[in-house]
Amino acid sequence: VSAPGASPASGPPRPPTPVPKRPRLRERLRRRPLGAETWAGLLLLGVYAGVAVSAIVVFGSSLDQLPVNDFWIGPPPFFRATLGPSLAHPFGVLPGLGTDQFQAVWKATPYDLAIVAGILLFDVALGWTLGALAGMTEGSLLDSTIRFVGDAFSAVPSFFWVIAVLAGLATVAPGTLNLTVFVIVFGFVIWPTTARTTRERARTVAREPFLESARASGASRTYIYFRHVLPNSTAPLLAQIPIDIAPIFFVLTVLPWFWDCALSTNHSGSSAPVPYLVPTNPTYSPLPAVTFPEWGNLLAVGTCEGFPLSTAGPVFWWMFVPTLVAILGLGVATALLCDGLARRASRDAVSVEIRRRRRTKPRR
Amino acid sequence: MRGGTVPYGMPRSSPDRAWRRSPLVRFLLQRAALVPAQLLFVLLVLYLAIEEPANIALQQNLGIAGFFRGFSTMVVNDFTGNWGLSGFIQYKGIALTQVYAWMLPQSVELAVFALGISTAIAYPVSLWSGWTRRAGVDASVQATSLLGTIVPVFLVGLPVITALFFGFISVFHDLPDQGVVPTVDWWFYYNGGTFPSWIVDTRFTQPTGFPLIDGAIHGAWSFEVVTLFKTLLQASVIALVYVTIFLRHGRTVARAASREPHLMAARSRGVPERTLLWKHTGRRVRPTFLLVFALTLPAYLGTQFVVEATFVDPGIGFISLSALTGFESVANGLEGLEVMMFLLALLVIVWLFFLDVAARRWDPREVVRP
Repeated sequence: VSAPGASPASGPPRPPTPVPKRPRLRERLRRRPLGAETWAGLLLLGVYAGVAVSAIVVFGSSLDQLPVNDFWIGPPPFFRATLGPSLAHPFGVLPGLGTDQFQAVWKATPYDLAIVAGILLFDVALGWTLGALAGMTEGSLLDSTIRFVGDAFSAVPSFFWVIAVLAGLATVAPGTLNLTVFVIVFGFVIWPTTARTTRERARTVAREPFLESARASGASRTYIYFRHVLPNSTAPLLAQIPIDIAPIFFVLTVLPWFWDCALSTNHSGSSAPVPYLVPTNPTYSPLPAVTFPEWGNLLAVGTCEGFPLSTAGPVFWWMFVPTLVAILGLGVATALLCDGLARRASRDAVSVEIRRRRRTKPRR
Repeated sequence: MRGGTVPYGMPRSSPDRAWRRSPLVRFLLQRAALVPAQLLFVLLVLYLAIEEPANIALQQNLGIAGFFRGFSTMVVNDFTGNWGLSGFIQYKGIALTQVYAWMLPQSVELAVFALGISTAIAYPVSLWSGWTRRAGVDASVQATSLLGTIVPVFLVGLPVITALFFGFISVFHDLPDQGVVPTVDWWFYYNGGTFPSWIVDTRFTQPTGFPLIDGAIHGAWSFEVVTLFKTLLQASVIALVYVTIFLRHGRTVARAASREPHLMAARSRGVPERTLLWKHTGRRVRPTFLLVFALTLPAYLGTQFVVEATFVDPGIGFISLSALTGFESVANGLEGLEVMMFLLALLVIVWLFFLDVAARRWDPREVVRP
């Protein structure tokens, strides 16, 4: 203890305060538990990942082909009722493609997970970073440019952009149409909505007092962007991710359904009714063949077969319900995970606020 | 001072309050300049995506001069309605402008009904779900909106058709899923199989092209009843799907508005909760709801397109999905797809402009009150 009246600078130099070590993951989870919602989402996604890995291991090189049995293709109506779920075929049989649905859905899981993950990765990488940048530099030329490009892109539904680019590619190089191109193109056109919502949040964050103090203490713009603005702008991103799954399956489902079912032609130029469905790929389809395992294509063919248009005949539910459940389950799992993480973040914000208030509360 | 540069007490005839000083006029000038710029940008991307690959394949309009020549030709053609010929089977060789002139009115009429029903449902439901603090309501709204977004639209329309199919036939003697206007079977039943002179190509009406208006003009009231019910059926399916998409955004807006301090002040003055909800919060969220609608307009259009295809309407939805699958565009050199995207961009960008203007006019925070 220094003598009264002595200057603190005159005493011996104080040792630097040790920087506390960042707690390990287990400690962090103990302090801030994930919550039931997040765990449920993680568990469901884990199940999907397990199914995907098992499909890769079990089917190996035949993963990209549905098992086709010609006997099941184009059966007469009375025969269809016998193709329902059984011990041999737990999800029933899809007569349009002549395939066992259980194997088809199983084989499609790794492809669909990869498609959704790839598109969302692009979406997040572009939408989050550009949106936060625009929000942080509100009113600047950069902000105006990002908003201008984003608004122009979102003037046309995203699936139109995707198909336009694929159609252009099909004109120049038909062999380049594949799922990788589809994922890249979709990721590039889907980001404006994410960027717009992230920008709104980043604008608010950029005006917070703690950022003022960071600027005052000499933090660079890059540091502020990566350390403060980006991490604090995740809430709208987490709300947007589950919604962005919808347009992906919109393209993968609606276009083959329209092509095979709603056009009511056999694609040979005549509009005569077809005796039974012979599915083909739409012209700009990213799938290599109609027998490629993919949930959207399976749902389209299943709906066309099981829910016939303009006849109100018998409904064969098993032809579309398993695939629909698989798609919905993926959406629900993502939503649970994202909502849980968003709730955890907001809970943290509230607890920080409460701690701050407690600290500043005047003592009696 | 709120929302403007005019100081309090300034007389209206003051020379300082020139029309250019008005924030609304300034906003209009700035936003109106953006409309053609954004349209040109969309057309540029479209040219690069669709026309340029075709030019490369055909070895024409290459080089920088060729690029500008081709792009300017495309812009002029798009804006002057020189859209080429239809490649669609039923209308092969007919000018695309004529095909659009036949099909657009039916889609617009359907949109008017669908948006009316959607507004009637979405506005109160979004407002109430944002206002209420019950956890069950919150969870059910989130689940409904998520499922409504992910379930394909045709899987909502098909059960409706199946459920109503035989009932509709027995009451109206017509098929519920074959377009908006009565089918050939109905005309056989009511008119001996002959079409009146104001029906074109068995499915379009004259002189306006709007079936309900044309039916009323010609006094065909039985036609009106069938057309109205078919339109309401399709509009309800569109509304059912679109409301769930709107709900997710609308609820968030309403929730944020319901926490504002002026509501707390009004509550402390004893204003009833119902007035707080429908009058105070309602007026506050209306402009933002308009912007949410603008944000979800592409989703709305996608929904209507698929419903039109499900109900086999000869409308814009059918043409656009034909173009997207390549059914029309391949025969048409991708012109059908390019024109469709140009028209969508035009619609959405101009609509956004008018919504911005309307939101600015209706937002109580933007009004200058001396």
